[in-house]
Amino acid sequence: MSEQPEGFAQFVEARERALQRTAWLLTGDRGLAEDLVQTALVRTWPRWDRIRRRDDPEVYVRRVMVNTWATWSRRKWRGEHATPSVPEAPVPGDIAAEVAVRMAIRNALASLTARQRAVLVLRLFDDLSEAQVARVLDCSVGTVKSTTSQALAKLRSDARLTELMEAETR
Amino acid sequence: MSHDTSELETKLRTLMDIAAGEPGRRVTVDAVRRGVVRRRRTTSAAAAAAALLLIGGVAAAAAAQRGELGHRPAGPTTGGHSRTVTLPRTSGVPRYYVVRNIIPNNGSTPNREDTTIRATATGALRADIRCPLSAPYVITWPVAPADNQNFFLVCQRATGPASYDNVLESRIFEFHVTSSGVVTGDLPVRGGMLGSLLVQSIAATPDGSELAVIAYPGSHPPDLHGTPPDVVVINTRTGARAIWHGALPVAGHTVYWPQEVSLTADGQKLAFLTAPQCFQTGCTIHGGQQVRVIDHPDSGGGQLNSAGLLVQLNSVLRSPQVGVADAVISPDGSTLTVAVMGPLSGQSGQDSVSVVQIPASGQGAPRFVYRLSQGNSFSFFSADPSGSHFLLGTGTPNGPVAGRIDNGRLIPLRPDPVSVQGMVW
Repeated sequence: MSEQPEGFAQFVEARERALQRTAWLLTGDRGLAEDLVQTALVRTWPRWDRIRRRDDPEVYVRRVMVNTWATWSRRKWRGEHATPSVPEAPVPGDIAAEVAVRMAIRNALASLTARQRAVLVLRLFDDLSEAQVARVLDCSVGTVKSTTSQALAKLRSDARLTELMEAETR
Repeated sequence: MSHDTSELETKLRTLMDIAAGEPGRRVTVDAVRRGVVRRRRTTSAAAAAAALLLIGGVAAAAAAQRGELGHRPAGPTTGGHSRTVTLPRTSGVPRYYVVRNIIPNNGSTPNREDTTIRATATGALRADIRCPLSAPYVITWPVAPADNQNFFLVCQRATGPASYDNVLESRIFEFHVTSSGVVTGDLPVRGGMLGSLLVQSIAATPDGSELAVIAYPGSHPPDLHGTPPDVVVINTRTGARAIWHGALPVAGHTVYWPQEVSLTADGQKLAFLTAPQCFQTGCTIHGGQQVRVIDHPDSGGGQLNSAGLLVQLNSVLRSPQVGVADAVISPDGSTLTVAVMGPLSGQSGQDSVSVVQIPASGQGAPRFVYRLSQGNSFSFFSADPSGSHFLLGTGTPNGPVAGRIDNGRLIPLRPDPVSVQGMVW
């Protein structure tokens, strides 16, 4: 059995929820988000000691997540078939507003390219600086700035999202 | 940055925060550790395959054949008594289940069988499971869960499609179901080459380190009752096996052949459901079905008849009219969950299918988990690795029902229960 590297368990314990939230914004699917975080952590494990010495581990894990998702999204293995009836009862309570936001954000992010989506999620949601985003995506700060600007311009034209943002202001 | 852009960013951040919500499940270090081990094994298996290609397939195949069951030296196989194992925590309903169903083909060609992964919440089909053995007649069954994400599957190649056809090759594979329900390939299990044995039942510890299978000779006659089965216990880390032999049906001797097996979480107890049998005159059978137990089943092997009696079922259930269809020991070994056919109420002539839990000590009253008073047949029963969620297939006057037990109710699970042969978590 693999020897667990020092500090890894504490990192997973402290950061896995935040990583899963980022992963959901990247993938738009809870199950895939969980897989993505787990896969990124599995790939990080063997290099953990070196990463801790040289780099910010979280930046590294996020880089693996973004790159892994880029690879997965090129594959066509998602083969779920819909079923006409579901055996489970509906969830009690009104969750319509939350679902509406979730759907709008998911659709808006899905309209972006993978690179634009990653930049926006890392820059806005994870609150990384432009320099940190550039390190995660292995590109220049200028590219981060221009990609952010293009992504925001695209989202401005999303009617459903604009409507939600106006409601947010009110 | 303009004011507009800054405001847009702020609003987007708020909406993203709401949308991302809170993850329903946690990614644990244990799950990551298992992923690391699997990744290394996949890498080394790929390297080994490449090496095999280089040094010549014929020599490698011969070496593999020598590893088959019939050619292994007898004697102690593995120790491992000091193994520390964390008991699986009682968790929510498993996200996926494995279902095997038979799709009739109108008589002209053999029925089609498929083994699939489905989502518990929606019944949606997530993945097909196929054995990596060459066709045409491959039986993809039985299957056992390790920890709800890792499963062990017995793939058996036979001379024909019927249940009495000879088995040519049995091999155990491990496959992994990801959180999104995708199967990420299969790995041959160490010690899982079972030659031409017919495997009828399989159980695994939650950490996947130990397996137990009930196996018959692959060239068995259609009627299995004259053929003693063996229980093979496999240490999947080392590939070592311990074999527990069923006694031959000799006049004057009572034999205890296993009907179903289960393991405790630490793999140190193997419980099997059995009914004493006497094939010829000269012996008297006392009592009905029992659960017998072998301590340290991975050490040495021996005779199943020497297994200790754990529970005399008819006396605990206080009803001589019932038949126990399956019995599963809990991960900590403290209780047995049994699927019972027949009236536990004591009123003869009544149909009933019940799932009850009884203390492994044999002392104390049974606790009902589920009861279907109109149940008239039984097709399968399965417990999840934590021993708290159950799947049951049963028949009623209105047709078969297959589903999961939830607070005393049976929640139907897809597909159509008419075609379902078995389900496991």
